[in-house]
Amino acid sequence: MRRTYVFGAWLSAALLAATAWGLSVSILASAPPHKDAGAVSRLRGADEPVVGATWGSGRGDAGRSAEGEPRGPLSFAVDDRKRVWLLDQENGRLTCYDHGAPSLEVTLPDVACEDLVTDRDRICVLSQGEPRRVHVFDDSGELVCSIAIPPDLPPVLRLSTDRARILVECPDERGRALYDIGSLARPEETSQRRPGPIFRSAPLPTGRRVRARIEAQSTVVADVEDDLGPALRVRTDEEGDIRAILDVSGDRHGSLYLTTVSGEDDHEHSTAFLTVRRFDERGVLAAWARCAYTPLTDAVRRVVVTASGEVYRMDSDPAGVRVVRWRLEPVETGDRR
Amino acid sequence: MKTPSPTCRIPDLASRGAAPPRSIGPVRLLSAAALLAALTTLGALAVPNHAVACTCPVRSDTACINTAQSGLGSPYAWGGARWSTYDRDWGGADCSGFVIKCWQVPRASSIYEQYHPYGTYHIFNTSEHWYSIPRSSVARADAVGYSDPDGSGSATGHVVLFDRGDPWGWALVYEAPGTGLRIRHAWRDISASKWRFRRRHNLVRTS
Repeated sequence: MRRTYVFGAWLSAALLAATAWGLSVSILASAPPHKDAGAVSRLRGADEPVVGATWGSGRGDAGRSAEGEPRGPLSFAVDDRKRVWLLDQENGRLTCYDHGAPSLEVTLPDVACEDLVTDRDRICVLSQGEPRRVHVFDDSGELVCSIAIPPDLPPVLRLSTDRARILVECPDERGRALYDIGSLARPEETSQRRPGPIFRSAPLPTGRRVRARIEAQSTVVADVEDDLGPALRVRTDEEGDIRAILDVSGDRHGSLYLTTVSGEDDHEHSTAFLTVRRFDERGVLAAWARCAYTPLTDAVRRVVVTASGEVYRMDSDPAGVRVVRWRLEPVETGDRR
Repeated sequence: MKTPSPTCRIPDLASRGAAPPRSIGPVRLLSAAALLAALTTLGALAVPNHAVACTCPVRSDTACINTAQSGLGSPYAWGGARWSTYDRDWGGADCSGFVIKCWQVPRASSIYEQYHPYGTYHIFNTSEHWYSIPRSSVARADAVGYSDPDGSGSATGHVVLFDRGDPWGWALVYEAPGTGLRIRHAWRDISASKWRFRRRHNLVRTS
């Protein structure tokens, strides 16, 4: 009989120990893993600030900081002269920064503007108001024209241009679909007829196109096509789960840039990293950079790759917003991610 | 899940012996205490946090989405929680008023009724009629958002109603986006670490 009680005590003690072990494991799992903390400190590439601005009130709204500073930046672009155009949506304006200082302010025609791109001396701004349209400005801030987006197009996410054609980017069951809605050279030649998607991929400055997708939980596959068909396939593997593809771009040298967000999380604790990778024209990973991805405000566009191959990133935190030139670290032998 | 009562098991164990022990020794006491602690802990862990009694009405995900669609085009109005399908300039909703109206918690209320019981802070810092879910299980009619930690309303909170995702990991959502804008069906990047995920109690999946 006594053996039964002893056995029962040992069984209960073992059960209690197992429970304690399970609890400790779950608590540890809910904390940010050490490898993620290491990854943050192991930032690759030195950030070079290009624009830094505290949160502000713009035109006298109930802001928290200095007059004239941005309040709700949703997107940005970098033109050929390396000027940074910031779409300050809540203040209803574009601010152009030249060498880090505001040099031009353009009042937007409506408050529903969400994205912008530059193409030579033109600045195109996407408005999600009713009706949806693309406002085209010259580089002095004068409104050149407004091109309506055909109403039966699906929800538009971002803008793009390809050899002076204005493209709107719509999410699609295969990734992204781009629709040609008009010409920057001849804006009067626009059509209200619904255009078919000209790409289900992003255009590259070299005339190629790239179609990217999240293939598995930690893999992104990008297929590069030219006029003759498939040309190249690149594949990335992340340390954590891939949550999103933020940007797919190229430069005029034929390199491909993939920007992804990855991370690990449970219910309440989450870590996220923004990673940009540059693949050369042969599809070999040539450089990369990574930073923590904890933006305070939501933006339609966070990364811009210029045709010359410079990468810019827009960050936001409780202090304000900044645009940095993101220096990529060349990949060392045996460090192919 | 009902937690077994350990106090019923000790006499049961004792009754199996040919002769009951004359007194309760330290081994028995230790055994009982350990068993009680272990079972209580296991029972608490096994109960899902959403299996608490909730008084909100049963509602399907499709009904939530239908309510969201009825608000498309109506204005954003801070503190608002009403709109009209006949007059898109009437009323308006803020982000939490819109999601709570779609969820219909804690009670049913028509789209014309100004009923705004919870803000974004409540959705992400309490569990009144909803519970936390991991990012990987987010589905139609779940709430996605973030909140300023102190509830001061310092313009750092937002909540949207999830519709579906796309192959790039972006989310198609219904939302009341902000001042000057209208309720819309739009795509958002929800990949940053600040986004949290909540599911309504008594939500029935029909899609």
